[in-house]
Amino acid sequence: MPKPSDLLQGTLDLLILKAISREPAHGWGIAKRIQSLSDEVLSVQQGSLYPALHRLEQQGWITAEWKDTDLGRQAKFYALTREGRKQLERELETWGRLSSAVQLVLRRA
Amino acid sequence: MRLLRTLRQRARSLFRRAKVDAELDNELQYHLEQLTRENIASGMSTRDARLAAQRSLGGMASIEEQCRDERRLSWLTDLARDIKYAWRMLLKSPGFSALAVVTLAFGVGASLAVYTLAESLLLRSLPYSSPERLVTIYSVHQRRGSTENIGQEDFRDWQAANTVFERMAFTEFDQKTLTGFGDAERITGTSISEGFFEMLGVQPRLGRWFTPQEKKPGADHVVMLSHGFWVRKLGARPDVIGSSVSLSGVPYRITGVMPENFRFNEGYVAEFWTPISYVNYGHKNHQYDGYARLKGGVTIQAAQAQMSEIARRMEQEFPDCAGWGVRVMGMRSELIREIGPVLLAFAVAALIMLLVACGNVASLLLARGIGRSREIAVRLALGAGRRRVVRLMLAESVLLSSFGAAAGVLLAWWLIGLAIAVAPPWMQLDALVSLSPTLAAFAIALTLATGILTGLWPALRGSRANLQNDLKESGVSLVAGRRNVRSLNGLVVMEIALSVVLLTFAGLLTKSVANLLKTDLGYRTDGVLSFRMSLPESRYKTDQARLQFWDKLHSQLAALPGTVSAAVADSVPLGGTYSSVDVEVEGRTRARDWTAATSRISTVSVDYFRTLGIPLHAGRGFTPSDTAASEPVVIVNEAFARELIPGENPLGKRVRLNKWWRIIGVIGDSRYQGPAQQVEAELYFPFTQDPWFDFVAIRTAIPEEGVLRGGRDIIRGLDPNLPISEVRTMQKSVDLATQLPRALMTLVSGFAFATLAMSTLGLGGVMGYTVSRRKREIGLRIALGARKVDISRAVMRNASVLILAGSVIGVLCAFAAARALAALLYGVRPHDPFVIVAAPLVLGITALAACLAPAHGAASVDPMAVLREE
Repeated sequence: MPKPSDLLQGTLDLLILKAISREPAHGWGIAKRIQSLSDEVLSVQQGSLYPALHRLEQQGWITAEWKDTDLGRQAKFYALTREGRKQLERELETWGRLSSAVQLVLRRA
Repeated sequence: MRLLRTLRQRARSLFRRAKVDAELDNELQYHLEQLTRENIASGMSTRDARLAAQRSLGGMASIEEQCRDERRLSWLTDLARDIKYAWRMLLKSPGFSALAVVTLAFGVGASLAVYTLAESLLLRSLPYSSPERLVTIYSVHQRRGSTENIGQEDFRDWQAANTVFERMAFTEFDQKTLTGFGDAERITGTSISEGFFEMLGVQPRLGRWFTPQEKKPGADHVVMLSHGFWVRKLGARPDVIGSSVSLSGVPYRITGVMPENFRFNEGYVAEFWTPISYVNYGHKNHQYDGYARLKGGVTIQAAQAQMSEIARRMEQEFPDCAGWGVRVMGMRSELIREIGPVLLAFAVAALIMLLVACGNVASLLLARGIGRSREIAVRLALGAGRRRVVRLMLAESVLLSSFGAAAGVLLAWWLIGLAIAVAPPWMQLDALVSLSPTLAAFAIALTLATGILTGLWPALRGSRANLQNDLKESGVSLVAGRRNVRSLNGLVVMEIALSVVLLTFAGLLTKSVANLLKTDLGYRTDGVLSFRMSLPESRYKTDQARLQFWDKLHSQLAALPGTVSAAVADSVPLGGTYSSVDVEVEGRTRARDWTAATSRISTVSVDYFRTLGIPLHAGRGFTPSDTAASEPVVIVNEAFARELIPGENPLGKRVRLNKWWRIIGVIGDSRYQGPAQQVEAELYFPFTQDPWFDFVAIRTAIPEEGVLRGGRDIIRGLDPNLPISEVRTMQKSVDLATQLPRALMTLVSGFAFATLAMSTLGLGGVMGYTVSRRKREIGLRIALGARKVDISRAVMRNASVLILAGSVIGVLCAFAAARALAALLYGVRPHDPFVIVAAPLVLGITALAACLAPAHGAASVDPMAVLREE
């Protein structure tokens, strides 16, 4: 399984933003969501997930709230802010450009 | 909106740290629980599941640390903690800390002083609007290559022909006798041409400038007063405008008062300004200081080009202009030319001292850092990032440099006081020095830079600990880490090299001052008293009146107990006045260029040469029988005879100035303007034939002060309205003339010895440290039969290699850097072989002496004690 360092720089932020774009989630949930959506290919290490969450929160792109989980325990739920949504769009666009460019190279080279 | 939220976030991170930390912990705990639950679901036992979860999560502490790092503000809270910790570390070794603070205080203090002086002099001494457009204009004596004063006629022609200057003006030094305010007083001022103040772009504090009408002869008895004069003499009353003050017996109407901060760097402090009325002195005259303001967009080079062209045309047109050019010099660059060399020498010395101080503290920190490697290894093992460790160690060095800077401010304050005391009074340096925001910024930047400069290397080195080795090692390794020792050696070699450079500087300046002091001036400096005293023309109109006054004064002065002889003259050595003219020698063809034959001139009474101790080498001196009725006679010095009448006996020859004068005597050469001046041609007129009365000189057999009181009483008895000023012994005048070089020598030597002390202490410290690290090796060697002599010799050999390397580098650097001093040296070349050899020798001997203690320490290692420590 690829290690987080194999993720392209900045890709983790994109994945996190995308993962909570529909509904808020806590750290565990985000990791699980990314794992299942990628058919278990991508596993986010906790060691990079939590620092990334705190960085995104510090930048004002996501906001955190303590809420009860289904299991009745309190957990920290992260949700996108308005700026976060804009940032997500920007990052998606960048990612689209980058991946199609890589595709082009791979196809033509 | 986003900014607000971000701010709130950061404030929360900063001020509610405990809560944020608890939340972080809780959050990670939740993750751990989920992971455990998942593991149980996949069939593990509860205990295994928990362990597996913990393993996969990794170091909780390190994740928490990273999260805090992401919160960005952590550096601030960490900083507070680092400083607290650094403070505790410094207190733990007070000796080390005190040494480091004192060392840094020297470096930072000297640099602060240099910066303050440079800023004051370069930025604040030209307080006019766009001062970069102000220039000084000189006539250039092309044969001598010297810059000289300008003349009114030249000025008028330049003014008419040029298109580069917005305004031009000229000034002249002036002294007048002030009466009506207690004792009569001699005061100094400036005569100014039209447009002088307008050219500078200043405004009067009170009243107005002179009108063009007031510059015409007859209407020109008007005066502007300095702010100081107005406050001291007129009680700062605003209603003085329009009233009169009596200057040299003539009433002058006050038209205005200058602003308090007005200053003009012309070599004296002016208390009044009067207009110059136009007199045609012809093109030969050179007695004024010329200034101009460039038109906007015109460069100094362009102005110089046009003025040179004009001067070339004038050389063709007017015979008296032959041999004369013009120089246009920016006032600011002129200021730099004047004070630059001294400031530069001071700055280089301060910089070297700062670097050696930094190097010294760095080596202390490095040596201690090596000793602390275990502590650092523990920190790293517990999860501190390398960056964090570097920061902690930098906090220590910055804290040190901050204390050093605080102490350095005291040193800077003292140095600036010293500079104010030795700077020429006209600079009014004390009025220029002030605290400015840039100075504060410089001080802070310097402190931080010093801290980082001293701490960065030791911190980077120290934090590159090898965890396993450092923790495994039970105590001290057998041989000190080769790399660490090499870093220490490098620092010591740098310190030694820089010390050699500074010692070379000190040596050159000392030799230069010694040359100055032993230069034969040609006149006596002991037992000679002089003062300035003029006879106002309003009351002493005729030559006869002046001669009679001197006869009375002379007979009474000569009768004063303690007086050997007394003389009057229009100038005395180092008195600050100077005049010279062109001379035609009988029987020799005159060059078209009149500047080819010029001589300094002076009028002196009969006893002048005896009073000053200038020997008569041939012919006779002046006698009372040389009168207006007898043949005009002059005495010349040997330089005059050598240069203007080469190969002939000058006695009996006639020279023409305004008329023919016969040479009756030849006196010895002297250095009228002080020891640094070259001997020049001089020509003396007898007071009895040319009665100019400006200075009185008295040769005394008792201390000069004893005669002064009696002299004052005599003068007051003869004429109570005659002030005397510039009362000085000749020794005092010579001291003043050599004050600046002596002060610079003292200062640079002081810096050099401080640097020498630092670098030799540094070397001794490093050797001591190496020996202590190698104690076990040495003990082993002794146990195996090495002799004590061999051990101490090995240490000394080790030290010698460092000293030699440093000295070689130092000599090479000094060779290159000494050129910076060239402008300040008198009678010694920058590459003086004696100094170049002596500097590394002094250093080498001192440094070897500093290594004796560690060498002895190494030899007296007790092998049994050391080996038992195992």
